[in-house]
Amino acid sequence: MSGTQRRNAAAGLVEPAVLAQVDRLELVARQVVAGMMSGMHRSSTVGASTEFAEHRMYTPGDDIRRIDWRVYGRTDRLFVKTFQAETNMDVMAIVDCSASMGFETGGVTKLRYALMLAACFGHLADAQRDRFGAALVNEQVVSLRRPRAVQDEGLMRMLESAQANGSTNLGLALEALTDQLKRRALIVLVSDLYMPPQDAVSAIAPLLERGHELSIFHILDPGEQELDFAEAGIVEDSETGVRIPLDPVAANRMLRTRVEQHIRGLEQALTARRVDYSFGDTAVPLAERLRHYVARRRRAQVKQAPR
Amino acid sequence: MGLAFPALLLAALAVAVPVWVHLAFRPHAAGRILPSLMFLKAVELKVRRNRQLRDRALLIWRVLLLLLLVAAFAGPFVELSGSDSAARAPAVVIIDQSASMTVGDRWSEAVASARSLLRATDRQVALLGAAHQTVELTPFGASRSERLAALASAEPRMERSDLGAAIQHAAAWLARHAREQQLPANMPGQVTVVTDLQASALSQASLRALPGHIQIDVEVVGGPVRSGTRQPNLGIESMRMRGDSTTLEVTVRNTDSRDASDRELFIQAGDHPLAQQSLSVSAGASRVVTVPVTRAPDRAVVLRAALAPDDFSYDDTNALVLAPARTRQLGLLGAGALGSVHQSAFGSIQKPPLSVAGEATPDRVRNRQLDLIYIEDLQDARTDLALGEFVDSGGVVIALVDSAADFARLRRTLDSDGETGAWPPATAVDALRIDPDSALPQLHEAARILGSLGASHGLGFTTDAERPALLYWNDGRAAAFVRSQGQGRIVVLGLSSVRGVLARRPELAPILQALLRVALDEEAGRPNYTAGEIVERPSSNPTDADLVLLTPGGVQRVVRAGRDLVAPAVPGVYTVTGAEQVEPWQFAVRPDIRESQLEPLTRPAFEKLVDAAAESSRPANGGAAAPRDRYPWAWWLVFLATVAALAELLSALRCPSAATEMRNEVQVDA
Repeated sequence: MSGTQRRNAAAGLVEPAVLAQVDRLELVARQVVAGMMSGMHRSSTVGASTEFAEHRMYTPGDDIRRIDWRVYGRTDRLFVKTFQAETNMDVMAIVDCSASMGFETGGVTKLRYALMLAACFGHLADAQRDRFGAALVNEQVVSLRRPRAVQDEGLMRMLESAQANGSTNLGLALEALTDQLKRRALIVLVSDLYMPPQDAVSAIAPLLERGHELSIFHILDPGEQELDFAEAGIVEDSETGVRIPLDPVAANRMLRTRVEQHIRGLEQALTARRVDYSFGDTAVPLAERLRHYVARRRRAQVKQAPR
Repeated sequence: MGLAFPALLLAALAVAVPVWVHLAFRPHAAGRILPSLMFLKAVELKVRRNRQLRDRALLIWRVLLLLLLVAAFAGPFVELSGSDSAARAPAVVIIDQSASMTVGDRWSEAVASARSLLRATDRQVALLGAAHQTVELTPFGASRSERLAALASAEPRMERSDLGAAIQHAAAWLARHAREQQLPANMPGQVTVVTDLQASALSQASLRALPGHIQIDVEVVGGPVRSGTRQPNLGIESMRMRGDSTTLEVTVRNTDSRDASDRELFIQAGDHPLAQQSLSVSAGASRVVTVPVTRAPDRAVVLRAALAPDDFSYDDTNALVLAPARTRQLGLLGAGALGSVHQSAFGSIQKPPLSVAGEATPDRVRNRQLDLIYIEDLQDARTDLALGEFVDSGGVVIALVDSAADFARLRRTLDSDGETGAWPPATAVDALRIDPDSALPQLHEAARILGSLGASHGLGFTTDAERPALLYWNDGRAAAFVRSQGQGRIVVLGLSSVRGVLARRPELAPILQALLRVALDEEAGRPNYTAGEIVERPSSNPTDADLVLLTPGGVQRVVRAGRDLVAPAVPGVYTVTGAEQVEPWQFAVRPDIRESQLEPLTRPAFEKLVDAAAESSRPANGGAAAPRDRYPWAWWLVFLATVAALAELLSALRCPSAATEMRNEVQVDA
């Protein structure tokens, strides 16, 4: 057991490669979410709701209508009542299933990783009574299941049957998908985003214009950031079929830099448009990634919550 | 070191196949698939294809295997150097025992030549005698003294030899010897033929499969080929007397493509020169030389013609008997000579005049006062008559044979001067069917018939001294012989011959008469004989004619014969073709004696014939024999090699690439 595996096991996390051996995404999602929960305190989205959550000290700027005067009468200190936020939003997972997503060097393809991630979101949404839907896209919308409150096995079958093929054209695919989504939703896009940041921004523009909240999971295989072979030879683009001779040793010298520049470019461009962007390779346990996402999102909600 | 099939080395070009396989099917880079080359295009590299062979050791092994296979097919053999090789190579000496070898000194020359061959070498030598059938005189293991003794005891036989069969026999013997001695099958062997090289002795049909590794030499003895004095392009075509019997006509023919000029023609009468004339003959033309002659009053004279002063010989046909200018004289021996029998037998002979001179005494015979001798009773025959010489000088002997003992006695009588050799052959004696009770009258009847047809001219139907004139067939057995000896004829009549046959088959009489008329007319130089309507003559020249084929329908064919045809009158030389259809009394000739074969055979012609036979058995690749015959296992090797090559090809097609061999495919030019 490697050091990473030991740390993950201690944290209740399961390696993506191990999870990839489980056929049913639903089981994977439960496992991941369970792992995620064990690693963080239960919390809920705090906000205006009818379900009491807790008291906290009054700070200037708080709405004085939320001051619990009864507590003030007993303690002479100002406490504000907070309530468990009740959400009933749509969550839409969009998974890039182009050919490049079929690459793997660590036991799990990017597509499988993305599908597991989507399934986890579905599981979380189901737990929160949110409506959940999913779509598989490459240069077009391959499969689509609109968000619905009650999930059946059809969604999971759709995800499990996904195949990595075709080329990527997120612009066309997302534009087509935008027309299919009538309600505003939290859209989780999982892709390797092999495109210039400007193109990525252009691709998601229709979704943003419709008011959708967008979270992008940028995933790459570790082998894409550093070539894991040393023999010079012919390499072929999985989507375009272009073949070029390549010396991996020479290529690795600049590959990492270019990938990092690409990630930074995406992060800047997307963050600037209030898109939640996160990058990680397929070696990162799903639960950890979800946990970071939830934590990050909670922080953002707290910041955005009305005071 | 040599190669039996050097042309097969061309098969070594097949090594290109494995080289091509190793080049064409070396692992190609299938292309490592990456998700995207978006970040890698900038580091695209120059590459240079490397023509490096794949699996060099395997390639070398395969090429070596292929070359070894090719070398094996090429039949390598080790030649022992110099005399060792010659000493080890076995040899066969074939001595021609045909009847033509009895002529002149040919046999003694042949024996001397064979003896020198046997003495000159230390190699293993076998000795073969070639006649109608090949006889193994001494095997390979015989000592030199045994070989020489066998050679000394060998004699020519009155048969036509088949040198082709003998050479074939020698080749088979060499092969068998090689197997027994565990020598290489293609080890060079030598066959030396000592012969007078008669065309009739070399049947091309029997030379169909001569192994190429056997060298065939020929030692020619006797005849014009040996002498070297006679120009090969000029020959005496015929000798004849004009009707006035005072002028000799000699026809000289140039058979060559070159003109012959300033040549000499020599005419000899008896042992004395008669004339010498210069002549020139254009290519392909003939020229007739006339010489006036005078007939001797009391004896016959033999006229001989030659194109060289030392080329007079009894063995050729360049001779003519000039009959004496008197009535033919018949000498008698035995009881018939003393009684009145001869009067009834020969009294009616009118054409030409024949007188009975009385008893054939030695003086009469020696002085050539007789033309025909009738031996009725061999018991009374004398052995001091020198009948061989008598016959050689043109005399005719008619002998009554009524038992095998009589036959042997006749032989002794004829041999009294040591000139007649081994004729008649012993095998012919057993073929005689004798009926002693009717012997005499039958002989008388036969004599009457023959006499009425001009028997005083002799019974020779031919002008060829070496040929028999008649083979009488009785119940499938030879019953009567007429054989030429020198210029004369010897007639041997079995007692049951003529009359019995004529009694059973009366239609034979006109046939026989026609046959005799043909012969007599020819001898008299009269081509317009009365029997012409039943005779088809292929040639208008009567002197060229005439083996005769008799069938129930009559004289059907007169076969043109060359002067070198040697076909003694013994069973087996004449064979009845299609015996079930042929009547017992038929005459027949060997079907393989054709006009084209009845030609003098020169050494180049012989060598050409042998080479053609060897070539016909040689494969197109120039090898000595068909590899299929010599290397039957080689075809299995070819089959296995083909299967292996196909398997290799299939495996190469199925596994065209190996990612681990990428470095062999691409070299990075940094």
